[in-house]
Amino acid sequence: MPIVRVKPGVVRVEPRKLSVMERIYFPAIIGGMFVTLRHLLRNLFNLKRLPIISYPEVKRVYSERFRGRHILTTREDGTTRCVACYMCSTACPAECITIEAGEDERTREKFPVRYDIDLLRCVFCGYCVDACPEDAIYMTGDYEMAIDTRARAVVGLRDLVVPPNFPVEPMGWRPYYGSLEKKGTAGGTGIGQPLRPASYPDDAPPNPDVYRGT
Amino acid sequence: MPVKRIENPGSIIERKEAAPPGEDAEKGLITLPGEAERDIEDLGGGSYLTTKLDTVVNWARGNSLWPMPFGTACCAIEFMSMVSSHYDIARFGAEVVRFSPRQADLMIVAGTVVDKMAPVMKKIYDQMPEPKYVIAMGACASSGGFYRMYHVMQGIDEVIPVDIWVPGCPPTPEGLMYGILKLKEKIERGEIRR
Repeated sequence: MPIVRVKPGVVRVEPRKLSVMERIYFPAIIGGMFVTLRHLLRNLFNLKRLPIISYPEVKRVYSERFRGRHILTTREDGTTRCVACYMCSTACPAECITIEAGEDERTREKFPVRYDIDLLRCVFCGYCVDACPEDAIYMTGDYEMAIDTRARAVVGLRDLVVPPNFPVEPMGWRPYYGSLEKKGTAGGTGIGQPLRPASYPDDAPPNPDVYRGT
Repeated sequence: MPVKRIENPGSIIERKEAAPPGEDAEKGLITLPGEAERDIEDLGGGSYLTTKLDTVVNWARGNSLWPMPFGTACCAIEFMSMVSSHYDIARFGAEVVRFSPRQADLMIVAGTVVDKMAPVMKKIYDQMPEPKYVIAMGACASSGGFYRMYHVMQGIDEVIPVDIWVPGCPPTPEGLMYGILKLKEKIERGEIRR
């Protein structure tokens, strides 16, 4: 590839001379086709080695800490664990949580009359889960949330509350995950439930995989 | 968990029946009140003969969506992931990603759209040939996300019509693919007339 100096600061780069085979042009095309054919046949007779995840039928297993759609857990007696303390909506950077508090006449306890999460505002940061003092809001590993009406994006108590010990599969970001007996259930973990005794000695370094809510 | 299905001769996609609020509600199913009745009315075989051509056309349209990414932020990275070999949207006939709006059917708005970008997006949408569909991907495009600010559009449906909203920040590739499948269902049901 000769470089000819034209004037100060400017050079001309001569292109490489093509050989006869390259100038005929067709051998190169056929060579390229053969590469394609080789890949096709290799994949066709070795389907197991394909990297594809056939999504609606086969699903990738995400981490247990995946932050997906929210759920509101309930106590053993069926009442919502949420006490409408506004911690989650205060921590929320997107301000997507709207709570209206009410008072239970019988127990004089606060509870949410209205608890709306605007899924389109939500950035799935998990701060609400971290902020919650009552273990009321968890996140599931559910990412199939596409909606066709904007009105449906605002999910309320009716969509969020799950029954006690409701098996949620796959379970996502929540406090104490992996460290309690009932794994993968909503409302079966957290406050009021006995902690499993630590399986490691006290002086051992803490396992980074176990979140203890501190 | 068993899901009740509605017989639906007009579409190859089964619809879920609306579950009552409470313990029987299926996970992730969000249903507006009165929606179940509307579905049954709309999807019955009443106009079977006259809509057969539409069914075929809609089937063809739903299976050959050519997307155009309008990627302005990190959601576009997830879009790339969805197009490439692990998730491979080619299985649904939507692999021909066109960067010219004149060759695309589906505009995927992935990312924050600021006010200055809105006329550009509107122009690109106008340049797309009919029928055209729009997916708002991610929190920013859908509603502005946490950019509650003077310079960010609070949802792209302020300027262009949106067919499917995909929540997430960013949505997973599966989440977006679920959105595209929902759009496909919607097209095949003939709900979009634009």
